[in-house]
Amino acid sequence: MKRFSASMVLIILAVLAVAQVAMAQPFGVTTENGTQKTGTGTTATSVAITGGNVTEVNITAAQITGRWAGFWGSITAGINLTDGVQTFYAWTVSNVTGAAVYAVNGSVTDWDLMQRANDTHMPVNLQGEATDNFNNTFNSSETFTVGTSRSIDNVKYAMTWQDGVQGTLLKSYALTTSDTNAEIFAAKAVGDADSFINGVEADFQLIVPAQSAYATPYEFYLELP
Amino acid sequence: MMLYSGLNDQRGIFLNSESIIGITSRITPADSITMFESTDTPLIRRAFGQLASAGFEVNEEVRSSNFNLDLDPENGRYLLVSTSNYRLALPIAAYAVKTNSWVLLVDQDNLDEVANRIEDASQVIAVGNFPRDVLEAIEPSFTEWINNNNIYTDSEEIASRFGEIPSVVITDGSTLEAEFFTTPNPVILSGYNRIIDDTITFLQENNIKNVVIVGNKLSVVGEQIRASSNKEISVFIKFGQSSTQKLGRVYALTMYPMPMPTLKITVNRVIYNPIKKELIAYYNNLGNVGTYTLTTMTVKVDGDEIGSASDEDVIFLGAGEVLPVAYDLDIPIDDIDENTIVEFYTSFGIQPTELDAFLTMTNKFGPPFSLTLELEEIEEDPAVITLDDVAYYLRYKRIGMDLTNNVTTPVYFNAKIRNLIVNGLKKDLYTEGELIGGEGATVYIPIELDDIDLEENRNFDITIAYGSDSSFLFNSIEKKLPFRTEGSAGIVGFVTSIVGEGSIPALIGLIVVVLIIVTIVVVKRRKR
Repeated sequence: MKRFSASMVLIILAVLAVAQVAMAQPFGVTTENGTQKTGTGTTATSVAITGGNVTEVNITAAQITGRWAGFWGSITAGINLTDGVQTFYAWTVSNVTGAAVYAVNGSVTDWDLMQRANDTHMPVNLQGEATDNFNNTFNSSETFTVGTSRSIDNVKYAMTWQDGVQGTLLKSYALTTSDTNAEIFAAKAVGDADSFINGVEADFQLIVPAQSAYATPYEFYLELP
Repeated sequence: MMLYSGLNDQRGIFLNSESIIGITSRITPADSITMFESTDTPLIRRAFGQLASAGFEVNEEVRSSNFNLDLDPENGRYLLVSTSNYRLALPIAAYAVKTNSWVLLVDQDNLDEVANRIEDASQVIAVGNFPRDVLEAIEPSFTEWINNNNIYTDSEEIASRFGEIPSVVITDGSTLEAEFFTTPNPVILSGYNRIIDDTITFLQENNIKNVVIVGNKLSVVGEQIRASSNKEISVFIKFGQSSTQKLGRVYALTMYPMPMPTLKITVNRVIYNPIKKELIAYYNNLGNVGTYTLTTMTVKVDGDEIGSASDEDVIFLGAGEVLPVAYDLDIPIDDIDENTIVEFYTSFGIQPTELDAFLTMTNKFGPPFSLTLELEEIEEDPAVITLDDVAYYLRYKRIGMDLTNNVTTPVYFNAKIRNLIVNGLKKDLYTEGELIGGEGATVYIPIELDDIDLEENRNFDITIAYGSDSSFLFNSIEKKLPFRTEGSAGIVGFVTSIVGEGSIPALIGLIVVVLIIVTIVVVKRRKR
């Protein structure tokens, strides 16, 4: 083994040996998802930084913001997921209504420690006075529930757009955990709802903070209803 | 490498394809990067060059042909698992991170190295079964051995060592994902598309409130947990990853398949024989390892059940075997048409106590597996064969079964030997073939038994299915014969295999005479 210098923080394994025993093809599954768009808005500036890649889950009417990014998609049984060998599988969640999709940045050790988030749990750039700060974006609150097993009071949420106007179904909630302070953004799934794109359906739409300099990673979970 | 990252509280990323984007999409130029590359057959050679081209600086490059040994921190704390038990490696990995231990994957190739490393270690916890020849070398160093002869129970016992736990991670053990090395919670095993009853019991008895399932392929397991627990256990399926650079796209998790045998069965056809009032299902093992199955089935016409049948005991299918199994069932012939289907609820696995997968239709995750019932009259088969003798041949390391075909036409057969102790572990053997009409033959199954196996094996437990048609092996022989050996191993065995075992005393005498003659000749020549 050759070692050229001392290791630091981040470790990457670039490659793994192809094993000498027979193995299945590595597989990857891609969920169906929408194309993120950058609108032109009423202002003259198109934001070219990472945070500018925001879906049209508009925060304010026709305003492009550099502080938020979005995810949207479907998780219904009707969606076929491809694996690495081009075989289609049907997601077995037969009824998604009541399910929740979570985008998590950080570590969740105990899901029962989820609690509502406020602006102090957000990145610094969302705590200021900008019109698209956290409080102005997640400007409503209600009890966040998942089936009968989860209920968190006064959770701030942002109402995302559907068919080009502010909708009434697809909400994005802001949560965190009391032990690890992970950023958790949740969406309660609604089967085949109108998405922000006219004529296209989605089960969830999420808004998440976007750091302007670098991409912020998220892991996605589905809580079964 | 992933364990190394977990022990050092660092983020590990691995490739599962030849695209460097699998890495670059998840790091930033501000990250400090150490690259580990296999010297054998990496997916991408000299990947650091590609990273550099993409604007990333690699601080350190580490190459090895055996990271499992080379990254060992050698702190005297080890967890051992056999390479034949890869599925256990993931529950063990989570425990290793918790206890700051290193996991060593043990097999014949690295046995000496592993035995040396653990000899003076302060903690050596072995998990699961090991072949005898491996066990003999490492067992003296064990400080503890977790072995319930059941990988699910083993994983649950490891989980119990985490203390009071609000949450567990569930995997079927077939793929590696970063969650297993970063979670502070225990990892337990489930079936591929079936949760074992004992696992549900474990979750309930330990008051587990939340379960994280890694990979959407196991979502059916999640739904089973929800149903079995009356929705008292919350289930989170980790299904995707992305970043704010990804333009809204959610991508699959980065997962890597563990080296495992291929388990796959199907039912080729199902027919009803009105002559014998039997339903016959043709099970086919499409995998590369012997598999056990257990089936319950129902016969339906337009959704209404008209009959049912089930196995009384698990059935063993050798790799590649097609086995017709007959079930007594009285169905009116008039009820059988193109709308008559048979729904199979078939569970299967590599151990009779680990039937951890359901047979499903293509693109479905749960049972039943359905086939149209065919109607076919099958007369009594006149084929008759006898099993005359069976023995283990020491010299040739194989089992030989003497079979005789008592009819004048060819007879097809498959033969199984159940629960033979091989290298300390029970194993089922399988072979198939054809017997020429009116003749006998010795059918061989190669297998190597060590000295202790020869002492521990008491019987040959043999089942032979046979018939005049290779598609209809409905006649059978079931016999338990005393275990015995033939011949000797080594040079004596070699010679006696030529001249016959009964000639040993005469042969020895001949050898002695020859040696005496040679000695005399040599002495006389020296004197001259």
